[in-house]
Amino acid sequence: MKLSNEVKVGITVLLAVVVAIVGFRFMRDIPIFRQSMEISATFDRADGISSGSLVYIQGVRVGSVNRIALTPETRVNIRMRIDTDVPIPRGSIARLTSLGIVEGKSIVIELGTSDQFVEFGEEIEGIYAETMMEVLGQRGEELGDDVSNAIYELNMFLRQLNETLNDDARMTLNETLNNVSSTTGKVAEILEGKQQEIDTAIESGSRMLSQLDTLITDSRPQVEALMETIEKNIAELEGVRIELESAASNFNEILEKINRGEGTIGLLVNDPSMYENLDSLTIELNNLIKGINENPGRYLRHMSIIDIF
Amino acid sequence: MYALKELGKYTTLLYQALRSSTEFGTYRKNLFHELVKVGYDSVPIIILVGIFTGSVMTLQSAYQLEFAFIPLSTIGAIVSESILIELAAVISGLVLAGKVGARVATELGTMRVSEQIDALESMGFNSVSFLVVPRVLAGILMFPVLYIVASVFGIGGGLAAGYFSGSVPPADFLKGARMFFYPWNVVFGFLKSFVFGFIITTVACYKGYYAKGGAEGVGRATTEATVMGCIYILLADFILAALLL
Repeated sequence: MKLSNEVKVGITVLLAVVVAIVGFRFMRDIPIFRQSMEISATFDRADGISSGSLVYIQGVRVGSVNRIALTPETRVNIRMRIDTDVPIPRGSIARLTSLGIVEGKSIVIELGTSDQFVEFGEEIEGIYAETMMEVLGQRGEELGDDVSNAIYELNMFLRQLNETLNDDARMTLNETLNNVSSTTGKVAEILEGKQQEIDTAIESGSRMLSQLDTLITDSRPQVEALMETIEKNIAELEGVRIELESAASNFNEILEKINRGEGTIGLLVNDPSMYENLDSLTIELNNLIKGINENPGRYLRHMSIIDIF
Repeated sequence: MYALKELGKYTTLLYQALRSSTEFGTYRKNLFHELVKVGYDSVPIIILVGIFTGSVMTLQSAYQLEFAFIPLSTIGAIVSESILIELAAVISGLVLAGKVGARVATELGTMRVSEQIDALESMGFNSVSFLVVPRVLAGILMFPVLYIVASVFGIGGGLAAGYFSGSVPPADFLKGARMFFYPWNVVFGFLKSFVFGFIITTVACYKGYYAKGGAEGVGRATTEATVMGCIYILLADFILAALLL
């Protein structure tokens, strides 16, 4: 079929336009044949984000940044085109963050748990997460100061230590060490000198113990004989004790007889008349002696001393 | 003085073309002929140019960045952005300066030296409207179309080269290309191709329309049209970049 010039031009232009539109939407990450979801979020700042930056949910790329605008409150409103069948719950959070050290910035949507879902064009909460590199960049100076301070102080400490350990101190330390060394040497010497005596002492101790042992072994028969004798004596003592016992019982019998008033001693002990006689005798004797004392002449009238003697 | 005279003649020709551009009936048939010659017939060479530009860009970027501590997606970004901003428009422009510019200058030059243009004029035809306007219009209209072709095949060629050489996985390439895709770059590329189309065709028409001195004159006109077209493309590229970026 021969195409006319007009048709050729028409085909070329039409194809170019279609390819251009498809290519443009493809590069902008817009789904080619259907309308996508669009949401927005407001951040404090938007470093590293540009139109076309990628949007992730759970690490899966779901869309891209569409438009970035400064709000009157000097925050940054970012519109994102989201192309996913998964609905985004209300209360989801858009986090502007970096996925790696060398990767550019991206927006990560952390899904909420609400039952209601974000509608087209709705706004969700945005959080600008500072990356490690930024924190390092901002606080690097501070950190560097800290480190250099620490090193300076360490240096000071070492210098002071050095100063403290000046030559005098070092000498003293050396002397001390020398003294300790010599003391230890002396102790060793002493131990060495007394070694023989200590040996002797230990030897005699050991000998004594062995002699004791020998002694015990040697005198065993004597001891046994002694023990035998003692046992014999004890047996004899037993015999004595039995005799004593019988003697005691005899004596008991005698005492019982006495108690019962049998025999002379029994009467003596048990009959009170004798005691009464004795008692009255004593009284009369007393009276006699008193009478003599009071009136000796009465009794001495009939007597003269010469007569008596 | 010579340059000023040339500029004046060039501007006069453009003015005549602009004034006669309303005479659509005069150049309607020629316009479609030219659109096919400039656009439709140039598509194969532009596809070839696009594919090779993109694949060479990818391979060389991958080679240069082999030891750098950067993600592979950067290569995709470099290739696609370079193609959209610069290469698709400029390299196609240079190729078309040879293909289209030379043809236009030769056609018009031959018609001039064989006094066909004078014949047209004596028959009461507006030769500018009949010969120049359709060619310039074809350039203006078709170069953006060719830019699209060059861009698509350039990025596709880069992607394919990365895939087949194993240096850049297509996913990384596309990720980078999308991450740094700014619509303004495409607009800028369109604008460039529009300007280049205008420059190539007007310079070629001017050189051919005012050719003189037989076959040698036609040859000189063709050479000048091609060389000056290329120079003006590079110059315009610089000016546009300085003004618009």
